[in-house]
Amino acid sequence: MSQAPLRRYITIFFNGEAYSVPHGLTIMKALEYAGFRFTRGSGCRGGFCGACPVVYRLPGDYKIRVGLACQTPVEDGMYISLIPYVPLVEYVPRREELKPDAGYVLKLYPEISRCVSCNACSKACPQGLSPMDAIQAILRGDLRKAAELTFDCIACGLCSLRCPAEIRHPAVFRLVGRIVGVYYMPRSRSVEQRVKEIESGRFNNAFAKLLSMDPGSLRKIYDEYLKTGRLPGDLEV
Amino acid sequence: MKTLLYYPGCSLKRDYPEAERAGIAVLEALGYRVVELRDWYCCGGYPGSTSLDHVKYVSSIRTLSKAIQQKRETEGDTIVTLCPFCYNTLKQAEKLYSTKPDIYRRVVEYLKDEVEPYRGGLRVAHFVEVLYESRSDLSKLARRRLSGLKVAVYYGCMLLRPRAVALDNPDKPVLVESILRELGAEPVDYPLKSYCCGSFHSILEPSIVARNTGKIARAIVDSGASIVVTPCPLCLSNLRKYTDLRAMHLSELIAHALGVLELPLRALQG
Ligand code: SF4
Ligand code: SF4
Ligand code: FES
Repeated sequence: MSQAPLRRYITIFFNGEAYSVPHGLTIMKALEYAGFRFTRGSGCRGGFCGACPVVYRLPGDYKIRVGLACQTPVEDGMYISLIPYVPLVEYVPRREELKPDAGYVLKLYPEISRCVSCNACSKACPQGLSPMDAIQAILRGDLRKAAELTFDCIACGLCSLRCPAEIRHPAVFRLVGRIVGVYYMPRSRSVEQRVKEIESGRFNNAFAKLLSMDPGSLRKIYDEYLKTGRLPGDLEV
Repeated sequence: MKTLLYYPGCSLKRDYPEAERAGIAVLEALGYRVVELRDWYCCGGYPGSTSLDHVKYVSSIRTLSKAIQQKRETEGDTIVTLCPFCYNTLKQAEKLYSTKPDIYRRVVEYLKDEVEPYRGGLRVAHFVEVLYESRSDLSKLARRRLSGLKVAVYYGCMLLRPRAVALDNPDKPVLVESILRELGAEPVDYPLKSYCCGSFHSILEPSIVARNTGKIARAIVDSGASIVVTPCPLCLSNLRKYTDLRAMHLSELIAHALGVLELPLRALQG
């Protein structure tokens, strides 16, 4: 005879208060179950956006652990602290200013040269990347390697919070990714083609029409599109 | 064929690809299989110039721990590097468990959830040592003798100090000279072969580097040498930046003599 599974409740601690929540939820869902509403520090809920870094500790263990609130399951006795954002200063140079040169990256982010290879960053990364190896690759001038190693960085900033050298990893990685994109990746012909089409005014009428519509009509077009894969005649280009 | 595990080091990798190519070509000409380490980290020589005594060993010990795995696969039991800084730091790290057991224990403890503890089993060697051990082959393999070339060898600090890792007498080193003689060169004698060039002061106190390299350059000019070779990328960079000497990495001159790499060595043809 099958029995309805028992719902097991566990206790978590958040901001110094204890909450009883069902076993099996993620930290994010558990806190919502406990009545909190995320107005910051949540985005995709799928482990992709990096908006929900969390710091926690388990009972009987001195280690501070880190993760993503939308991905980490709650455990009994967990102490939780959320980090809605990591306030890193980032430089975003214009495309023409970028140089395919590690010296340029070091000039913008000189703290890179203080990396002591402690590997605290890699131990923190919820994406399982090795930010240390990427920083080390920059130090030896290999920007392509650094970009390759950090392609999956979701800019949660946890590594930077752990780094004794105060390196701003996600900002550095974004810069390196842009440099490699501009200087080493093959140019995408289809994008260039599309930009030309936009400039030629091909989409102007359709956009003007969309922008003048009320939300109700937009929804109707959208639902229709989902069903049939087609747009009304005057929006086709 | 004997395998050498090759540790490049950041400076050389970044700034002196020609010295690196030359060094590897020379080792291969001498019959070694050169395998670059899969995982290697800044030796710590740079942050190690600060006084954080424990931290500076972390990356070197990690590199050694990971190299042990590659030793099992390749049977290469020697890590060779072209950079004296890296040599010095890796060599000191390699001996850490006997020379500074307390620091060794802390470093290994720190690394324990990442890598297996390094318990010895690798030899750390500088390029110069490998050349010295194969010096009789050098003379057989030479395709361009360096006959009559008056060359000054500038050692810098890191191959000769501290004594525990020194490759030669710090006050009167002769190792590189004896290698070059096998190739027909005429190394000159001069007094400042191991006088510090100023090293990383190039970043914050360049005047120190300007002063020291100036002294070294005068001694070399007085010695009648037409060219200076150094085993150190950092010394090379300082000599090139602050003096008019014709300077090159030792690996380049040897590669030229063995004819394994065409280098634009106009300096030697005049
Ligand atoms: S590299 Fe750093 S910022 Fe990027 S995902 Fe990993 S921990 Fe987050
Ligand atoms: S945490 Fe910082 S210092 Fe430590 S390895 Fe990572 S980048 Fe280097
Ligand atoms: S909400 Fe996007 S990664 Fe967690």
